[in-house]
Amino acid sequence: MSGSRDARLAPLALAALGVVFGDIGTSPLYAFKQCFTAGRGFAPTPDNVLGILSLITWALILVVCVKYASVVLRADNDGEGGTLALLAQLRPTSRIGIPARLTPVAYMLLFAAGMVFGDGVITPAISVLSAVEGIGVAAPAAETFIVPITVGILIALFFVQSRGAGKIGAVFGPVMVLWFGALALAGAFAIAREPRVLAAFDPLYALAFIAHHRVAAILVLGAVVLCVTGVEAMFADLAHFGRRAIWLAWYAGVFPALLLNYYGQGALALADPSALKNPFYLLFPAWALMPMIAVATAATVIASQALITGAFSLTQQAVQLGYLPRLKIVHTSHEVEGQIYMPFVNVMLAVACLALVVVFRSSDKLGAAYGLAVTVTMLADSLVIGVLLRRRFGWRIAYVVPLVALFLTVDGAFLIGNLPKLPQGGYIPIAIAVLMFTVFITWVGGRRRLAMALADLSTPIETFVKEVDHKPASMTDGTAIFLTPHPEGIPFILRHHWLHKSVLREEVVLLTIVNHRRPHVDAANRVVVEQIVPRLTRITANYGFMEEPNVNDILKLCRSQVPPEIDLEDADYFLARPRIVPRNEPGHGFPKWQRWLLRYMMRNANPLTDSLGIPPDRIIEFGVVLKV
Amino acid sequence: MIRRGPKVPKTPIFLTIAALGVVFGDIGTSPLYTLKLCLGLAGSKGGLGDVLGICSLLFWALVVVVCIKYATFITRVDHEGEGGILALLALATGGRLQGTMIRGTVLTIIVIIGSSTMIGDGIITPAISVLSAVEGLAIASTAFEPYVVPISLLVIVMLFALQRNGTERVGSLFGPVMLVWFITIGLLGALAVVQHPEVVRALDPRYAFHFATHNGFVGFTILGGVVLAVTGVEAMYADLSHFGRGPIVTGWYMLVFPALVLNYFGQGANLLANPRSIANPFYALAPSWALIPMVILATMATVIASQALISGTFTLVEQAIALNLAPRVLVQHTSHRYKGQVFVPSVNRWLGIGCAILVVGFRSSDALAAAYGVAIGFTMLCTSLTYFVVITKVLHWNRGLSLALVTGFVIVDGSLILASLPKVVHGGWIPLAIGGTLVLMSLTWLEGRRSLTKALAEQQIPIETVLEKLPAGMGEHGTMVFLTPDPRGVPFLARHRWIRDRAQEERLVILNIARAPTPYLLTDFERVTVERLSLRLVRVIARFGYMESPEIAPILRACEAFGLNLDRDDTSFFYADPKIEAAPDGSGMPGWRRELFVTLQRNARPLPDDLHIRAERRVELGVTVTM
Repeated sequence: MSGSRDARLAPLALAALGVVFGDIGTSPLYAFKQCFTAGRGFAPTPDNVLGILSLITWALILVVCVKYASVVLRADNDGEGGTLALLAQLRPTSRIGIPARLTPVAYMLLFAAGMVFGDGVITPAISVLSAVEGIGVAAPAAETFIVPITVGILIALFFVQSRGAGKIGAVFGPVMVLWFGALALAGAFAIAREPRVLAAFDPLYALAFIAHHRVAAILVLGAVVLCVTGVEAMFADLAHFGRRAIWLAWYAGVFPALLLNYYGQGALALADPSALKNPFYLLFPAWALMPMIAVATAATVIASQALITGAFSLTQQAVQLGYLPRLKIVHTSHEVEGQIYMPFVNVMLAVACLALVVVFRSSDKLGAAYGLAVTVTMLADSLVIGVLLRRRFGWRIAYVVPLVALFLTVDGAFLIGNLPKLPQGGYIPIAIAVLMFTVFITWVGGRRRLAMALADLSTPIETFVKEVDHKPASMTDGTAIFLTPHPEGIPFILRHHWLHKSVLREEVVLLTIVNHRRPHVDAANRVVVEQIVPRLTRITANYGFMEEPNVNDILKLCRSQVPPEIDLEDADYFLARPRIVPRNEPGHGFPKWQRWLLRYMMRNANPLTDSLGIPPDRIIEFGVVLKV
Repeated sequence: MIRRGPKVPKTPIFLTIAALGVVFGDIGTSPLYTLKLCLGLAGSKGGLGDVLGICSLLFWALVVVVCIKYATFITRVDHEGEGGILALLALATGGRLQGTMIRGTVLTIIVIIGSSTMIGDGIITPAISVLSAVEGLAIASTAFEPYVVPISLLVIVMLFALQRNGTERVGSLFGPVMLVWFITIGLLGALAVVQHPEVVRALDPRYAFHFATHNGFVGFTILGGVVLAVTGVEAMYADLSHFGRGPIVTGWYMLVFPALVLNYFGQGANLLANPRSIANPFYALAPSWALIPMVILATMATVIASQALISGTFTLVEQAIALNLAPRVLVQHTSHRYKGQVFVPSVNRWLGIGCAILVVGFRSSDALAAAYGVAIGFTMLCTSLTYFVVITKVLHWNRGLSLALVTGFVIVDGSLILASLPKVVHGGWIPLAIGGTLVLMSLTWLEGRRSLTKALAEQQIPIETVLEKLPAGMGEHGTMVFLTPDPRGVPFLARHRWIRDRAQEERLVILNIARAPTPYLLTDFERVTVERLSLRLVRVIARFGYMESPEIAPILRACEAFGLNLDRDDTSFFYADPKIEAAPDGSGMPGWRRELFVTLQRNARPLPDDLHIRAERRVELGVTVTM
């Protein structure tokens, strides 16, 4: 595995440029400019320029190099990264088949995951908009077309998702090389003309800036954080590229290019303060402007593509971990696993994204809504990392506390810097996050209540066997497979008056699919077959959260282990069809709206039988009343 | 024929007053904003010519659309007392409706468009009426201005939140309040008219004609404002069954029409005397001491108007569901006394959200008026066309006269639509978009249900074949009840081995729920047919009218009378859970419409829920269907 990774390191790093660093790599389009318009605005005096540059430099070093690249990337869950993978490591499974009660840390991480969606909606809008705004620099008359062009690009982008836009991923890397090369080159030329800008590398400038502006300096942090938005992708995409490729791409390509470009923009601002109107595009000579707008648009489209793909996989993880109802997943590629398209997520993202472009109309205004959610996610990551470093890596408290304190200071400062954005649009990602969070906890809580209510209805095996033994055995009609969420006892439907008398004449198979909190499960442990009594067999199938259970695979694996009279291929499948009613005792049940939401999600979830690949004509569902 | 509609109080005067609150709420609160919008559209400062022209247009719009078209002609055609465009459809297709579903004919599409656009405009009604009433506060004191939107929002939220409890208890107050309202606006108008009697010249239609034709394009688009005076006229027809034609027409001529004309003319007269009143010509009629009481009265009147609209929408949706033009949703009957009183939670939720968004988004009745009334022209046009089909094909009126009459209607409706078109850019796209979405959903549902029913029927085994193969005997282990859309066959036996095995030993009941082409059915005897096809196999067909909700109780009663007890724990009800897939040859619906149908189907209320079959007795069987 690691051998082949070595040989593929360079191509992997190249691919990572587009997918992992698209977002953070397109921030120079708007981040530097935003720093000067934050709050009441800052005059482009040399002190301010150097101070802000210094802040940007050290934000990149502390957040990206130290926190994410060095520490967070190590907290993978069997190679899988991302907020939800972190959560999966923390959450113990109580009884198999019954979701555990949510802990405060879990609440926090779920809220953070909601924030990822909240910011994810803004990223495509702000980056494509800022790239297209270059047209306004090239030809001021064309300014009225900025919003329509942006809308057109975004519609096209979301539209091609169903065709598997990830397939053209091969061209992403080279385009991004071109992009980062241009960033570095343009920056280097500007620095060469104004070398004194390099002094900003000294953190004292950052400190002096803070000391001088005091409270106002906090506001600038709300803009500086835009330089590091997208850093989460380093962690979220860990599984696709591996730590080493991500490191290589960051240190050998992205980091230097970003620094050169920010310094170049700084140099330009020192030489000509009026260039702050659009410091990014003004770095380029007039003849290079149109090509650069094209490259920037391509880069932002790639960044948006990476974000959309990221949203798909985050959603998929959330589904597999039981935080979201099953959604329809389309596999767009037969060769590459993990190339997925989720129609519902795509439509929701597209609607939200377009609404943002149409309502905000400029990247400056959108910048004011952007960033708040990122900081919340970063803050949550910091807290959890501390817990993990201690528990999993056994670090000594003396090391963990200062490190986490450092992270928290940085994140806290960013958070405070972002709070003033709340009324200007910052509430949008927060609102989306709250919505997602509500959906998450309703689904987890609802499933937990459903599973417990269902478990209450099941019979202990001994009781059941005793009962059955008294009945005369008759001929075997066929095979009945009962899908049951928890592998203990006998599912209630076997007690259903109607089934009791008829099904018991058949070969009965109890099939339980257990979703583990690891990304993958060893093939050797995939299925466990256990014959309880003659004609009653239990099959337990184990799956990781990055794997998709399929009933045909399970049956194939079982074939050799079950008695020949069980006809798995021609079996009927029996399921429970819950009808949710309120619990009688007040204070214990879900509130009415939450029950409504749960029902709505259950109705609209992709049926389990669909994703398992069970032929519909074999499915028989028995109604059962469950109190939630 | 015995009328089985909702029970109504007996005395006509009482009925007329009750009708005021339900039928004339919307049209009766139009003076709050209509004249103001017309002046705005004309860019008028309130000169004599403009005032006379606009007043004349308003008067003649009321005469032509309300007096002639609706009061004289449309309301004369009812379906066993039931009015409204969907009743027209049921009447037009009556003979063919028995047991089968309405087909997607041109007529059906016209009716769907008419009903959808009615809802599209209907969403605006509560928002604009309440806003315009509350805006009176800002006239009383500019200090109130920032509170207009929040107060309106509060009124709207309360209005929708209270729907759940039904309106039976307060409903009896609606009529008297509207009586006070009409008397008040009539008197205020009369006082102003007396001071400037020359406004009465507007009765001469030449002013209307002159104004509409001599101001170029603007004069024509004025009609887009005039239409607001007649929005809500459909209610006269839709609520026919609640009151009967007599009280409605009496109420119109005795009180509503005179009050409206006096008020519009009064606003015009007042404008001549006092050009500054153009800021809000309606409230300018009231003396300043009466302003606050007037705002309160207006708010009550608009709430009543909104209430009537909301109830009307519930009824419309209930009928649409029964005619299979809309997916089943939960319909609650809030009154034991009145059959027609229903509450539809999902419709209430969406209407409420829509109204709240409109209030917050538009913030003023002026802005909303610019979006209002665009879709209503389509509703009127669709009613006219359906009316034509009914009077010629069903009632066999003289063809030539009918054609002439309906051509007249269509010219009026058509000019209202054309005149409203410039409003599309000012927000008029909103009702049209809502209406369009509903049309799309309705057509997809209709078409999807038809193919689904057909596909399910194809998978059934004909009863004769089943009877041959079924072993003799009574069947002793229990009863299997199959719900099927087509009573000519037995479902599930072909595909489900397990069901086939079970069916060897049990009693079988085929249960078909059909919708009858009448509003109500009389007796259980008329409703449920039980046929014993063999010792083991029974067929039950139950019919429900389009104003009724299907339920299991009468079916159980009828079967009981036949010696068949279905209310037992060993009885299970089997129904299909269709899994819809694309036809392999690419025929059938386009992909996105299939997706839409699947979504509608998923979120429709399952038939067993509607029937109130206990969950433990239900068994759902997966069935693959290609379409």
